Amino acid sequence: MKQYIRSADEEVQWSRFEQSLNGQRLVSGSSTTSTVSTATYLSDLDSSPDSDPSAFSSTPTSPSSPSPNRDKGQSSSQNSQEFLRLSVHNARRNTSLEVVTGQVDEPGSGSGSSSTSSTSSGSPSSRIRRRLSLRVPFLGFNRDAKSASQSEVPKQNHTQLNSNNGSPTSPTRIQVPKRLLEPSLLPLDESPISSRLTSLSLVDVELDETRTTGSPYKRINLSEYSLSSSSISSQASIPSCHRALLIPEILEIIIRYVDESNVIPHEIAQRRRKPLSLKHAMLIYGNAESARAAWSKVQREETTKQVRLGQLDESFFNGLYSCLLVSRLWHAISMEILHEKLHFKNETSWQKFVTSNGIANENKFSSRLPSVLVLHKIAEAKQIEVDLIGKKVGGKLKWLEFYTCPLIVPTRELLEGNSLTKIVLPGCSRVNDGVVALIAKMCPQVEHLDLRACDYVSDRGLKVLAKRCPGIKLLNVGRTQRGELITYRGIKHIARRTCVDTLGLAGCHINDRAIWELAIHRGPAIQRLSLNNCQFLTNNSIPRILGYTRNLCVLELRGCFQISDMRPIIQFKRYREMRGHPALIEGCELFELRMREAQWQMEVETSRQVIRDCLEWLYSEDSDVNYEKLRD
Amino acid sequence: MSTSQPSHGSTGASGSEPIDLAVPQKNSVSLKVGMIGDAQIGKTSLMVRYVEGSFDEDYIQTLGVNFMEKSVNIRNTEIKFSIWDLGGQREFVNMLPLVSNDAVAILFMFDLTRKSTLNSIKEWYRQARGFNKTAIPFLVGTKFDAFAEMPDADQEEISRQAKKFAKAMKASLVFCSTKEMINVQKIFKIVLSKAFQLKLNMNEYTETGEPLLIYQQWS
Ligand SMILES: Nc1nc2c(ncn2[C@@H]2O[C@H](COP(=O)(O)OP(=O)(O)OP(=O)(O)O)[C@@H](O)[C@H]2O)c(=O)[nH]1
Ligand SMILES: [Mg+2]
Repeated sequence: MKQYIRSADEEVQWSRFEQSLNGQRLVSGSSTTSTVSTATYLSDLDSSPDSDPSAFSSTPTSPSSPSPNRDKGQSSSQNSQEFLRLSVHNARRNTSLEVVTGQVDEPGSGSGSSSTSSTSSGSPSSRIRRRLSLRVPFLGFNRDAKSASQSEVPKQNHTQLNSNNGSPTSPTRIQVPKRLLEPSLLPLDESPISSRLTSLSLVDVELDETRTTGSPYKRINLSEYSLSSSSISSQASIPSCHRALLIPEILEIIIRYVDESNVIPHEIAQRRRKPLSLKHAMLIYGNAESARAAWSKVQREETTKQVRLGQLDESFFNGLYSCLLVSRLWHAISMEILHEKLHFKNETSWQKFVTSNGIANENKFSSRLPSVLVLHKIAEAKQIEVDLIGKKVGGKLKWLEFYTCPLIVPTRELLEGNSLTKIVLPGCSRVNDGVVALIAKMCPQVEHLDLRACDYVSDRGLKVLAKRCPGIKLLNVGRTQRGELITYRGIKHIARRTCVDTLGLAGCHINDRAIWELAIHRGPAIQRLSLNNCQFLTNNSIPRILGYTRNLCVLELRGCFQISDMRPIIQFKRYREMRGHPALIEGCELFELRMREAQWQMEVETSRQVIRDCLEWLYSEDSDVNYEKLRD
Repeated sequence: MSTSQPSHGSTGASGSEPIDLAVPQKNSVSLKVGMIGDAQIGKTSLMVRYVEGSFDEDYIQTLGVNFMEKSVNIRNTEIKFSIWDLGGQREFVNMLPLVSNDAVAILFMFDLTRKSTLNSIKEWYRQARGFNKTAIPFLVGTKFDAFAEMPDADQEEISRQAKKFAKAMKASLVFCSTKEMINVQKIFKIVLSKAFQLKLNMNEYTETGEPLLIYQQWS
């Protein structure tokens, strides 16, 4: 896995790659694996004529028609293909790079469709998912006659690419700030790149975010990338490759961009939990239609859950894997980026990783330590394996997750580095107060700590945690067993010492005092409270404290049967609604029923009051002339 | 000078005052009232009089639609009349839906001193009903002050006709004078009482010569 593609000649790599563009390799690939990704390299205008960018550009006005064998290759491919298209345009002092990722859906008979439609030439439907434009001012140093004479064309091409906005996402443009255009930095001759790029850093990069909100892609922050002379590679001899692509840092930006779409799935905070029954749905939604819709959705989901997860896994990292195939440099950089996020979702990949990085391998893991380690439902993962891997990859983690891996707990090495802010260990039943104390000791900066169904964690663990980790924002110790281990005594410390705003206490034996502690000490900071099955809570807590927690937006009260004073809860709901931030308050059937009744009661009272007030007005004197008096 | 209290917790979230959730909210009742009828009969005058309390002898033609709001605050309830007044010129009839759609009540208005404006009511009624069949209808005769100066026979005739119309429309009948402030507020009180089916205790006037106020028949 760590080996670069060994090739005697880089040129061979390139020609293989070019070939793959022509479709031949793709076809064979698609017959063996279900999804094949391709990386399309659009050479710049300095390169040989047979890699004319317009042939690949997805523009209707492309001046040259696509070559026939390309058409053939694409049309014979049946699957939909992920693609990464990269184009480099030289224009005077600017070099702009454009990276487009998307998908080409190939219908069975796609030949002869080199039409003037707005889709890419030869492929009837190409959906562009994302687009990144990079403008790199200090790279436009090719001042020979050839590039100068052609400098107009790429511009045109550039706009063409941009004008193809059939995609839902609009371009993200990254511009290097003006001050990097210092004359001294501008290359004047053909001296090696490295000598001119000493310690240039792409800081404060302006990112013109025009995407709609709710896009799953994160912002790209370029401030992390610095250009220093040390790492400029000397592989400057690849034909038809633009210089820009030989600078590892630029390549890294591009590959990182590709990696942006590889989001490691994490649990999204649920807005609304599923109804427990049709009757429950009726009480929540109030009308039969949406209740039935919600309920049937719940039932559907149960059957399709498996399938959905499977699909998700498949498309993972595809973009990056194809970047591995481009060239040595691409391979090296893609590898590093791949190694930054370790995500295992089945036994095999975990076992493979352990074997290749275990005792047998004395090498360092990678030049950069990973920031993410996620093990998802690897029930067989053993503590000894984690111990070994921890020694290799620990030290820089920001996010550590063992999702229902019952046999393992995090090790000291994994927790090292003072960078871990997110620790997710639901269902890791071996996690006890000792592990919590270790976390508290090693990670005082932790903000997100999920210990759901870690049944052995008790008040003592919470006390240590509260003492050492004042930055905790999210804490979940919800459980279905051993609820007696979490009580007022532990929550008291969390409320008083941390800055918790989201707290999961489902099934814990907390009492009203615990809630009061939270209300008094955290009050307006509290945002989400999950108190499902906290059976000891009564009308003396939740209905009384909502005035303190005015920013509470999700409150879960399923199975809190002692809470029956609904009026303050309804008043709180109305308060939030009036301010335009409705709160979601969820309960079980009995709770919803009580809510309905109370609401009805309150409405009756309101209308009585309205009627009384209206009558008072109707019977009051008015300034109309009293005709009877006038007549007399 | 402010002295900050040493905070209990590590984040300073403590000590903020709780909000009082039990503070009663103001109830609000909102009623849309449409006004239609021929030009120059006194629709705009009536609206302005009710909302602002003023009266102007000069006539300013309404171009299109006028809209005003009148709020009555009583204890914990706000009663809000939104009054929509349609210019009486035939050319504005295309804006009739704007005025009549989802109105709680429609005031069909005519000028007591011009019999032709009463005859037009038939057509206004037919058209407005086309857009809104549920609005509570009112037949409102205006300029009662001038009407009272007319010969008894004419008064007799108009009153008889108006009663006939009101009966056909199942509408409450009101003769009013914007100028002299006769039966102006009463109209809106009747609107509210009809909308909420509340019992009213105002005297009716049914005799010719009186400013007719007949509202109990069709409830
Ligand atoms: N004597 C008398 N004159 C009135 C009364 N009400 C309105 N007028 C006069 O009648 C004229 C017409 O009044 P408007 O309210 O503008 O008539 P309108 O129905 O709105 O007319 P359009 O906007 O053209 O439909 C004005 O000159 C008013 O002063 C009233 O009660 N008594
Ligand atoms: Mg008018």
